Amino acid sequence: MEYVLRTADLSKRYRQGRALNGLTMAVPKGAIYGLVGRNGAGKTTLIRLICGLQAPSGGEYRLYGRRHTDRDISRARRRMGAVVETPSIYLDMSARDNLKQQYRVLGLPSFEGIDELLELVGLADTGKKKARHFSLGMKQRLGIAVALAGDPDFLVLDEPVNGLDPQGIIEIRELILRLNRERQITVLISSHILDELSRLATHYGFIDGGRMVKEISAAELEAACRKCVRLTVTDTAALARVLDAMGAEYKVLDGRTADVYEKLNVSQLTLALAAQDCELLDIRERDESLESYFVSLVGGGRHA
Amino acid sequence: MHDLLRAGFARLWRAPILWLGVAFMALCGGMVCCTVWDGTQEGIVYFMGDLCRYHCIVTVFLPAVFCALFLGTEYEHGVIRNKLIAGKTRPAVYLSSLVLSLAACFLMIAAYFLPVCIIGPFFTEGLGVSPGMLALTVVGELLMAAALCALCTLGSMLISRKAILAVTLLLAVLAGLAVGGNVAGRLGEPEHFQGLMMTEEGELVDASDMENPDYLQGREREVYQFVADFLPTGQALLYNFDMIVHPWAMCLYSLLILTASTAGGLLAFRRKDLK
Repeated sequence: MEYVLRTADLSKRYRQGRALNGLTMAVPKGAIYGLVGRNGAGKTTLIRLICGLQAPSGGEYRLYGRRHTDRDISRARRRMGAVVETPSIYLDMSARDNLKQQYRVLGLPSFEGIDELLELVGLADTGKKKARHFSLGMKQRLGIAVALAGDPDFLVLDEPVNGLDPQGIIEIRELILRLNRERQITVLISSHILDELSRLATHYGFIDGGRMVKEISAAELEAACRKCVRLTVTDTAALARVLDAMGAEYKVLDGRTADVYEKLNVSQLTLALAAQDCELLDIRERDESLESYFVSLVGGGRHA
Repeated sequence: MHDLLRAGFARLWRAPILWLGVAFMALCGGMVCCTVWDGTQEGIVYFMGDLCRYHCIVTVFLPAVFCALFLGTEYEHGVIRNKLIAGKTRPAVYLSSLVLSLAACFLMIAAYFLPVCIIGPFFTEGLGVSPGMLALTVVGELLMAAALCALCTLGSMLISRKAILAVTLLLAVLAGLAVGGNVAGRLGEPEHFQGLMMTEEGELVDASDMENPDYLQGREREVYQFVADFLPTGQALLYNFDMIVHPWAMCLYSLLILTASTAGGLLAFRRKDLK
């Protein structure tokens, strides 16, 4: 698999303590990688390091295969765009002028593509309106447009829906999905809003205390969080025979419990189990969400 | 760095702070001409050399105000991050900021010279100094401004909060002027009292031959002279009040400050954690 970003044992130490503590992760090309973690878990620090705003205290990261200490890392960085925390825009300039400014910084020979970018982020009709008069959602979208100047193929977004109203959240979500599907842009996105992230991400990285607790693809997570019925019986061997006969998908957890990934007719199941001298002791529906998966991974002492 | 300069100048030409500064300095030049014209009506003789020095005290504030408002915005709006994320190196970001502040400051000084050079010759009686000395003085003033630009750019690149930056830079300039003023004042003390002096008994005595106890001599004078020559704010006062003793040394000190602060700033900015 081709990776856009790989980190190995990455650490960052401030005076107040360690923000990253040997973090290892890999962002596959073409993915929407959701970075999940509590406040202070190290998400923003990781993004700052990747963007070259801060230097790691230890470990390394590679962008497009180039090590962060390589002389030509800036060349790799030209292939990425980022919005770190708040959108980086000149508030005394219009959306178009902000993009022109970024085009100049990038050394692009013409302003071709600005109209398309404004159209893409839904700011084509803002005219000469200064960015300071934009709503939070508009500023966020302008920040993304600035990050998209120069046609990057890796976009890093730090809490892009923070503080947005429901309409703004939907707009940003659709924009990210469009960028990923239509332009094949790899996206690394950190967010507190796990429900929102679960609608976007193709891969997840769960980070806690500056470490990567688990990296998992959305498909794997879906399998892990699958809706199921947990049965507690006196004999799982008998249960297995009954479920096999019913053609149901299941997983035996121990001698007394099993998860069944099918909708069951409880009466039929109870009768069939009774015929096998097996009692049904308990039945519970389980529906693990991204949130509960996260809590089960890192513990629920604090908020995500 | 070319791209950063292109972007920086595009923003600079549209920055209200630049044109406010230019207008203010042009107004200063015009006011100096008016004062000179007024003085000539009372028989005072002025030279062009005098007019070329009168901006220095105001000039020391230009880099502080410009850097706080123009470069400070880069941090305040977070746009400095866009440059680094776009793959621009930290030295390039630092040096382009320095070039911008130098260009803005020189443009504002040029705005002062514009009315002075156009109207000044009508009211003055020649240069007052040799053309070479006048050129050296003007170059020295520009180098003094450049040294201040370098120091203010250093502050702007290391202090990420605009309000703190503005207060720090202005206080630093005021403190520099206070030190420079004190030092220049001591250096300006006459060696001997002149004219009459009243004793404690109320008697008037001829004091023209009496030594001034506040007059600095020997090693102490050298130290004071060095401080005045070295500090950009001290230089500003020396230029402004025509107290220049070591014009070449002053230029050299300005170059030294420009180089040392830029080298130090580059090193510190390279290590700075940006948020």
